[in-house]
Amino acid sequence: MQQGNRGGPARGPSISRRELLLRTGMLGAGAAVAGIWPGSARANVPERLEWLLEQVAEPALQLLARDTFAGLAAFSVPGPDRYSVVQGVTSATPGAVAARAPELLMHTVDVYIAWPDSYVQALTAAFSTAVDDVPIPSTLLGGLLRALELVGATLDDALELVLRNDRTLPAALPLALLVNFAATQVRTSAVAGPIASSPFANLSWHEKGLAFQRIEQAAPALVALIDANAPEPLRESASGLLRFVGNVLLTLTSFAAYSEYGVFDRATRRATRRPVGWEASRYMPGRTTPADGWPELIGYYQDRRAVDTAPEYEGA
Amino acid sequence: MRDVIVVGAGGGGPVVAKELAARGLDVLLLEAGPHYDDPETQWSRYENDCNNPADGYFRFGPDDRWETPPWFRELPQNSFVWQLAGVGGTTQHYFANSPRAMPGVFADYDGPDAAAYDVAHRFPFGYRDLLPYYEWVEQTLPVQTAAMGTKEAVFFRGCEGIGLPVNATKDVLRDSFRPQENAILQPEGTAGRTSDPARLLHPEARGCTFCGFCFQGCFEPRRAPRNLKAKRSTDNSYVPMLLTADAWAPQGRAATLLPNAFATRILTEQAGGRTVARGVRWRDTRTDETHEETARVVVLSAGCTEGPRLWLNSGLPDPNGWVGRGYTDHFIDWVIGVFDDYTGNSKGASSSARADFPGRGALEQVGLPPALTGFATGFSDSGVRGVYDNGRGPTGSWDGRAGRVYGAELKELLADVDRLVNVLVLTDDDVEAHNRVVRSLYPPDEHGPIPKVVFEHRRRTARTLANREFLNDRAARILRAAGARKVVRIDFSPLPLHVHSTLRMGADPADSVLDAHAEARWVDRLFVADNAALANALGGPNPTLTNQAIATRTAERIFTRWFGGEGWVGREAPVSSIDDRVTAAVLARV
Repeated sequence: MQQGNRGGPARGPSISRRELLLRTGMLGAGAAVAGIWPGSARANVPERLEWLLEQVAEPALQLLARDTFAGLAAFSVPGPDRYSVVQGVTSATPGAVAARAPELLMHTVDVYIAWPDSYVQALTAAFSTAVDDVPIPSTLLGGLLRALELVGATLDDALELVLRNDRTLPAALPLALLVNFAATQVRTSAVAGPIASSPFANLSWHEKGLAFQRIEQAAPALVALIDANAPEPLRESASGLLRFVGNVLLTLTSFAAYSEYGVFDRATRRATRRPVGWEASRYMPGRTTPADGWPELIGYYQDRRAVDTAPEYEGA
Repeated sequence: MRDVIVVGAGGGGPVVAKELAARGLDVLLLEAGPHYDDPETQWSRYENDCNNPADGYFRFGPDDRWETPPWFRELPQNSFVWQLAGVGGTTQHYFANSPRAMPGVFADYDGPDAAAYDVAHRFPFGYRDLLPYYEWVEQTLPVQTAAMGTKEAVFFRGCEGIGLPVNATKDVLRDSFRPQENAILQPEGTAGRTSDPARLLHPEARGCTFCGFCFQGCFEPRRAPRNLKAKRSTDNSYVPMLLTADAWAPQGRAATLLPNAFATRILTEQAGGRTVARGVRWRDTRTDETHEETARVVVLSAGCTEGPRLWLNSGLPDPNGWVGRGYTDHFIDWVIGVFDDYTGNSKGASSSARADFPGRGALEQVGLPPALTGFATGFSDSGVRGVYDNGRGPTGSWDGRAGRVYGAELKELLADVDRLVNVLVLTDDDVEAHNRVVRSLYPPDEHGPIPKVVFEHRRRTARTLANREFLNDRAARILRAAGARKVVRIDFSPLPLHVHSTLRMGADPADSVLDAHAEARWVDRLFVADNAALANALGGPNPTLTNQAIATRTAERIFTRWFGGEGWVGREAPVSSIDDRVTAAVLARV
């Protein structure tokens, strides 16, 4: 997992998830409001397996975020990729996943959305229920995960571990959890689908819209979860936060899909080949670099090269 | 002690600095962001590399864009405030559209439609009073009538099709359309006539080369001296002039430009029972050191969001509570036409055509490359077309409900970026006290408490909302008349690109921060010279030219009131920023 890079000397106090749960009584209150909160913290992982969980926690959460944003990318600009296939809306030509929109989106929100660490942690904790039934992807570390599988370890356990240790978390993580939480509200069974680590990515294209409807309209269940957990003085800001992040995620994804990011070489500051989005939009056919000009000049409307102050205001 | 310290090198600050440097004053110009002094090597013009809000070279943050995060601002609603640090400020990415304001927003207006404007918040002086300053700036930049490419021809065809008359003057007198008056050197030589890079070098090519990258920074034609680049962003016009004022002004004295200097406090003292500005404290964003200098006059030109923040963080008086209030943004919206034929959407100056509707606002045709088109099609308050509408999704003369274009529809709409024509809706929006900048409760950053920008966009006045609907209707009709086979309206969320009036001047001391000369009502020797000083949203026209005209007027006021000098506008002829004396000095030292 990337370390958050939110800069500035002033940071709010960190709140461990355990402390948070104790202090706010979140589990009970959250369950009552949201209607689907589990009756108890999971904590299925025996202490002897925690070293193993420690090894996979961050890669597992990184995969969770990546798969979620890939599901969003396919929602924005579908292609022939598996995320588009799962949502039931595909396209023969490459889309936002091939353009590496998920990676750019994660990077951008991590850097751009500079929430205080305590806020990121609280949001992460608040939405962890989105993945409490989602197993840790078995592709990580191969057979070593068998022990974790046997005890039913989930991504929620990985989250609890990183929160307990008060690590700096990237903003992409709670945003991915938020999107997944909204997805489970649209269809509970989305936790079990072909994209193992992201319920959102398992939704149909239309269902993805319904998940973002809940975010953009600040569905009461989402608002209550955030307000129950956000540290002071940031309570009561949940509805604005949801509308902000919903719009940012949807908009930046489309921007990313048609940008050069996926093929941009930072060292030379040039695209190494045609960006997917340029090809999809027939932008500057054949080029990989911005052009210095075009023979696009037609002339001047009514051949007028200059105008003056109106007679009504002459001599003012 | 300096004569004058100007905080902010965006659209307005360099104007004051240049004018006063030309009068021989000792001027220090502070800029929080970097100074790109060799754009041909520093700006790639790739959209993400430039416009990404996290680490693009046109972001709002310190100069080490790949190492340090941007400066975060709280937005408690679905909105995006497109701030931009660096010498030139937002003129680095602006389209250089330089229309004059609607005459109806000024104190002297008595036309038959006088009641159609934001009558409670007019400018505290007359349109006629401002005309000499407009003309001064128009000759300095200079402003020229825009040339036409295919996308402009399409837009004009639509305007003709709905029966709009053409406006062949610089002033808006009635509903009409016209080529933009742009602060862009128009194409000469091979510019606009070839795509061969070897033939697009200055001086064979002069003026706009039709590259299509206004929003990614203008350095065309390559090899042109900085003051002869096509787009007259202040980094290409006023900044070269202020740095060379001794070379082209008889009594001129070159100003000092200090980039990477984030102002954190306006310093004041008490004198004669009044609060008096006496200097500025700033932080060097590279070394983390704090500096202070004193000055006889301080000019705040930090923008509509940072200006109120600095005011409040400095503990300056705010007795009527209007510091930060009255934020106007033209409540912009976006309408897209899809055509069967080539439109040249991605080529040429980004906006070279407009239509004006006094009392309503304005429309302008906008060309964009694909990623920004993705942004524009995604930025909506009306949900996702075909799925949900957030309780809005207005219908009208466009196709279907307004909303975000997504999925298969987006891919189809953007299947050829050069078959689109975009129309930006610029609403004549009212000053409203509840749209404002306050200090956020989020943790402060290295420069103090951060600003929070509040837009209650669904509570805009009935006039503002009606104007926006009127303009969207006209935009869709223009596109259809031009031959669009599909027209979509996005219904933008608040996207303050045109920002105004958060430290507004006004006739009424109860709802203004500045007097009629842009001097702070409660702090002597403190002036504001940027869009924040504007009394209102100008009736819809793009604000930079008016900001610059008023900044010129403010510079005169500073010189006459605090330095015993005489005014010059109307008495002298301005020196153009492309004058040979400026060019020679730029080649010698900038």
